[in-house]
Amino acid sequence: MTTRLRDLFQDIAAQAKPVELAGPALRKARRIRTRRYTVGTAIVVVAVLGLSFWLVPRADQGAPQLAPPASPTPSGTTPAAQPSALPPPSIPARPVPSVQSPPVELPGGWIIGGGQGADQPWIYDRVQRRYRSVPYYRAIPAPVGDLVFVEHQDGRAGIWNLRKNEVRWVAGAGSGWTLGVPEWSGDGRRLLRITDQGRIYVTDAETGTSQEIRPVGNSCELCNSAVWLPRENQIALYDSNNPNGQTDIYDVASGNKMDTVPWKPGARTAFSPDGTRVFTRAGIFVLATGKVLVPVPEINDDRTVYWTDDYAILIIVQGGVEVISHVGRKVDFFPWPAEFNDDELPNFSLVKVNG
Amino acid sequence: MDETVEAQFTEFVRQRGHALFRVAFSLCGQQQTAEDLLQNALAKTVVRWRSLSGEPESYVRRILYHDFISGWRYRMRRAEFITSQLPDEPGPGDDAERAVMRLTLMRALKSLPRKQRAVLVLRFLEDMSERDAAEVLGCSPGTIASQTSRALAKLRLSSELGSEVIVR
Repeated sequence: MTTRLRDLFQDIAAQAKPVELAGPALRKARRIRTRRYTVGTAIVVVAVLGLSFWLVPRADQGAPQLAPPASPTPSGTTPAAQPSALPPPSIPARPVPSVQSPPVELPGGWIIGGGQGADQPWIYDRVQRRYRSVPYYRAIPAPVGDLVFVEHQDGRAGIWNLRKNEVRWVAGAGSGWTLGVPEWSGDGRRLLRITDQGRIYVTDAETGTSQEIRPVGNSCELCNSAVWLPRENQIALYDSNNPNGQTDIYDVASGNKMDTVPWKPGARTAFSPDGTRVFTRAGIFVLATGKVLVPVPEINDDRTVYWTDDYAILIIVQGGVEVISHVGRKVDFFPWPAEFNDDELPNFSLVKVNG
Repeated sequence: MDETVEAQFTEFVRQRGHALFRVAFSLCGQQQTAEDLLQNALAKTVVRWRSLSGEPESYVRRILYHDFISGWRYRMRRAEFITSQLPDEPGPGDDAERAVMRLTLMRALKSLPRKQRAVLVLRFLEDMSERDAAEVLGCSPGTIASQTSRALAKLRLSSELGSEVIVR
């Protein structure tokens, strides 16, 4: 019996059981709207109490607590916000790594720097030297330094300075929901984002100002293949129109195309510390020429890749971290600690332990 | 919240909600995960309702597909994992052979990279042209074409569907 693929997809879709959609979405949207923060507010104690109802601590450790915000800050910034009281969860809450947990260390001086909990993200705060939950929709720490990308529940994007305990919200150009996962530059000073309008911006973490990157033609494969280059003043976008599969390089300062290189970035792209080689699923290439140096092993369910030092490449997979060498061989595997739930796998961020 | 916005949004969801949920389900393969994915997209949409120009459905779709492709999960109800055990069973009255093919396809889809899965859903469930699918995902029609080809080739290799399924 032959069957059309379209018919099979209709069969799959027909398995979807009707659910209530408008009510829950409106309730969620109302919660988003009522969690607005104003500059110079006093410490909101309710927030800490509300969180303690649902954060489930390990039996031998205390529950992570939010740090109080700083005193009123200069205009253009707000104190790190405290949430209003949260409703009780409808699903069992998952624990944030305990506040007493040492950072989970990986080869090359990297540690697990952040993840997404059941309702809130969590990060490793290098100022306070502990894991803590974050009262925003999303939080992604910079690989080095004291900055964290945060996404407010109302869609605003901001840069949270952990040392000053201030958030600078992106306004004007570059504002809007962030699609996909934003990319920090390696020096932790700029952020590469795609907004909900499909525009690509590089935001300066210090000033909060954004430069738009203007792809030539349709150089934005699913808007998920924009990566920083090692020199930190350029990004790469894959040119899907080029039959040779070339990649365009864009200058961050001007947003204009500068060059073309013969390799394709992807979700799993990492550059060697000396900036001369690039790891992709297709192999390890010479950056300048696209010449393949070595193939790389097929690794199931790979997610993020970090080239940590001259000899080790870390690949986050389900269950832990694969380590492969610079010549493309599997050399080790580090399983996740028990308190790190595999469901959070796609949302782990790594940061430098002494960055 | 503005009553007019609520009313407009509710009507929009009444008309298009289930169609969008079918898309979310086809992407995720699981009821709970699909529910989370779509409700997050809808919540973002209603917050922006007044500022949306044109059809809200295209906005919802863009959020839906991009959040799915990035793998970002806001409420971790259940892990999505590849299993040798099929996650669903044929229902009563199902054409048995057709049901097995459906379940086989579901399993094969889960082995595809997310972006390829998304492209197949756009092309074969939503019946979009390469151009329209490219519009949703913010890429070129050429990319849609190449991703479609690769995805279909992987499906043929990885599943027992083989020659029993025709693409057109």
